[in-house]
Amino acid sequence: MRKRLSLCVASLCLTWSACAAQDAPTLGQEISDGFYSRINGLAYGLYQDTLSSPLNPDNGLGIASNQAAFQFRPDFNLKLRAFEFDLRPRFYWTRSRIDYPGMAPERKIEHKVFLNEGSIRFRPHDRLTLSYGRENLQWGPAALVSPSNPFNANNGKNNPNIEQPGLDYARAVYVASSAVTVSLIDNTGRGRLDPINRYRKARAVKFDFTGDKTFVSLIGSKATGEGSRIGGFAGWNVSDALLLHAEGSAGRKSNGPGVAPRNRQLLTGASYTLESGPTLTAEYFFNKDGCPDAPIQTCLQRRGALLDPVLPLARRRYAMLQFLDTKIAGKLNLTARFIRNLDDVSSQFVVNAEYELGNHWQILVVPAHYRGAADSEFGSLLHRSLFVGASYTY
Amino acid sequence: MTAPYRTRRAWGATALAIFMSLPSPGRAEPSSADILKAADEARGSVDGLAWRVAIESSENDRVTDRLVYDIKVRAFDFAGVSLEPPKYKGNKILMLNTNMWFYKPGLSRPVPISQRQKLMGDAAYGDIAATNYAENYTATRLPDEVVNGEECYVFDLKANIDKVTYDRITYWVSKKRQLGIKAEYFTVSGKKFKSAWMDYANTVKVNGHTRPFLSRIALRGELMNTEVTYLKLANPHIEAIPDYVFNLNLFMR
Repeated sequence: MRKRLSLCVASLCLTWSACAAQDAPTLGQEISDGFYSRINGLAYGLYQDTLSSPLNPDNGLGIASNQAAFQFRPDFNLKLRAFEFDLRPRFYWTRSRIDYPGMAPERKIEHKVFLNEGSIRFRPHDRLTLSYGRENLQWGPAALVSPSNPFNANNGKNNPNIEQPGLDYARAVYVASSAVTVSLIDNTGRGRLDPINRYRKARAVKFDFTGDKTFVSLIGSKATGEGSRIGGFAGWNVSDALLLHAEGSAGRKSNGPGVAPRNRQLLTGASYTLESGPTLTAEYFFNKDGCPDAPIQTCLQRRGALLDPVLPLARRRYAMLQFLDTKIAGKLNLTARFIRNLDDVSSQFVVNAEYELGNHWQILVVPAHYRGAADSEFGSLLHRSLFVGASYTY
Repeated sequence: MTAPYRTRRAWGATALAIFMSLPSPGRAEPSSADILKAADEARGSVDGLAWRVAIESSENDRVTDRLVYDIKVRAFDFAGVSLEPPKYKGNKILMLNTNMWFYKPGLSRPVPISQRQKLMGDAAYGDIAATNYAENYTATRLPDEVVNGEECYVFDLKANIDKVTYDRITYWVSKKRQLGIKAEYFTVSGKKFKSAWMDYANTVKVNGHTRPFLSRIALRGELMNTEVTYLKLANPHIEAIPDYVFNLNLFMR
């Protein structure tokens, strides 16, 4: 009897320990389950037909006419209990040739290793997430530009193969319900933003509401040297095919020296997805403080910076048409976009073609054509360009 | 209690059980809404469910393209992360209150998309979502039919809201199993453009009850007859899914 009892106890212990082992995975298992990696390598060649114009006399800006590049882009992510670690280091190697009229071309090779994005998230509670680190923080439904974003309005859609820089942020995101979220965002540093860009340190509070067929967000922000701003975006799924969207911001003008005011910007747009799959998008952007009449070089002088991440477009009125289709003949993803500057009637036409080869490879071709007078926005730097690349992902 | 009394009570209970099990001519059939709700529940409409779906495009029985998504569902909201092939690894889809977003690594932000946007082959993004035919469509009963030897209710479903992927559907629901086993999809103009066959080899345990769950959808377009797109669902399981999983600010980055 005693022997039988001890056998029972032993088997119960074994069962319990097996169950306990099942219920509580080891740290190693947790790490293995929560780890994600994506390793991408991109090799590309870029040809740019530069223009000599008042903005770029004799290619004074030093725009490369030819570029060969390789970018190694691993992404690592680990979700471990209440923590999430995200790491996106980058290695770039670039060989450029810069042509100047009447001079020998300048050739240079650059390589750099850096952290484009990397952050730590801590979730003390299901409703609250705190994060700190470098992120490319973008939002909104607009395809042309994101005027509600007080940190970086340039969403890089013209060539999505080129990564946008990560900026440094501290964030607290409170998920009040499945429909309502409140975020506090503090931009703590310029991160990987190119020094040629103007940088404003800013703080923002963002309210997001996702309703039935609609979404609305409001963003209040304050940037160093500028007045406070209110921005927002909204989308309405009118039907399963038609989506209307709007995005904008308004703020008090600043009298600070050398800082261009960002008074009012509004973007409206519509997307329609055909039954066969392609999506057509049209957008109109109005930038109240844009520069409608003066030559582009004067506009940029008034803006005070050649590139401005929160004011990527210098003039007042723009229109954009975009065609997007995926899996054409099972292999080809295609985006074609036409942007027209309605003030100086210059234009930009970009096609982004992505051809899939097997499970790992993608061939990328991005031809672009620019038209306009030498003192116009799109006609002052390049005549045409061609990006050809191959991407391998593991 | 005496033995004859016990015997009488046993006979009475047996008679009652037999009476209850007889098909009564006056007994009401379940309503269309109840049938569709039961069929919806076997296609994902459950609070807190996760599964893995492989989307395969095949031509002449040869797989030409394949995608694998890890899906988390709560009622009709869902969040999906692409696992395979490597070139799509990290692509994400989020549907919240019928608003749908898509994100892929390298893209600087999620973009809003339509549910009817093409995912692969004849599958649209909306095909991954759970169905809510009971609420989103007005059902008209058509004469019953037998499909693969199975007695089926047949419904003509017309969208009563604009946000659904398909405007009109003819839907066959097994009488015995209360599962949707076949569907034909029509354009607004009434032209049939796609059909689907559903299998239910999976099971999930909800509130202690094991019930069948969708295991495969075979989608066949009307234009390309040789091409079939399969959505193969594996490992469905109940899982607590908090709000942050469906949060655009947190999920996509």
